Amino acid sequence: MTAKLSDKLVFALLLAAGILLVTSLALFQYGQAIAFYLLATIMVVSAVGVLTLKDIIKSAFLLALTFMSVGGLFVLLHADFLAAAQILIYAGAVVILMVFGVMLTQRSQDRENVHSLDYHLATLAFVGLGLLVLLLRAVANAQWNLATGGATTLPTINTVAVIGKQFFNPYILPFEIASVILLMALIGAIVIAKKEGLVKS
Amino acid sequence: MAYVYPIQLNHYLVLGAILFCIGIYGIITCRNLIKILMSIELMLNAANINFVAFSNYVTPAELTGQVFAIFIITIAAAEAGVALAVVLSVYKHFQSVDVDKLKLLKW
Repeated sequence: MTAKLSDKLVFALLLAAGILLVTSLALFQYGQAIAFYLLATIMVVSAVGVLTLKDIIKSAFLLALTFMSVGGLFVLLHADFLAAAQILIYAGAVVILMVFGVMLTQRSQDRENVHSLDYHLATLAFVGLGLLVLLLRAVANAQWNLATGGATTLPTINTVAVIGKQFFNPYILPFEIASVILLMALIGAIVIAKKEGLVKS
Repeated sequence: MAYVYPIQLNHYLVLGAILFCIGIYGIITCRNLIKILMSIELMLNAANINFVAFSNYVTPAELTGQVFAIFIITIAAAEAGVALAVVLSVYKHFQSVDVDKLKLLKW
């Protein structure tokens, strides 16, 4: 009985994949738009979920989903190396750091009752929406110095080589400073988080 | 007639603005320090989306925006590490990460 059920499941999955493949081929010229709106919806919904969910572990995993959909948007923007870095660093390292932070600071019983501010919620929402309206007005009114052809011209194929050359020719100083900052952050994090009172005892 | 892609630069800019405002809203409403950190990461990601979109649509050959996005990712990783160390230190001191309970500075 269970084998039959799994067979049905595999068949349904194959059918769904086939339908998806055919429709995506049929809608090929709209494929970019479909992918964009899908990723954008996932990103916005999971970002709202990060803020609204009561259990902070769940919001940490939703944060990982947000970062992955941002990585998908980078793929749509022809930034393959950056998409890989995004998923490695954000969805991998930063989210794991957040989860460690949650587990080290919250006992499981008081994980649930961390609410947002109840008072002035409407005012704060108004502030956020006002900022959003201002930004959208700025986006709508601005004239950008677009490259000829816009996205219709295929951009650089080998982005890693171009980015590497950029790092070593014009941006060598920020690159070195970034590495020093990483070292400072490493040492600083160890010094701040290390156990106090070792000298006393 | 050349086929015009339906998704243009403004779509990405609007998406970045929405994500940025969600992050701002999280920073001013959340009481948990770690949730505030998550909101900051969301805002940095909004900036990254804008940088990569400009890199694709304005300088597709030089990829300047992608270089800046890599710098932002680096700084964000360093910031997350240091900020979580600070959160751990605050928790050791106050036994809480609720922003309302950190009342060392009274005015």
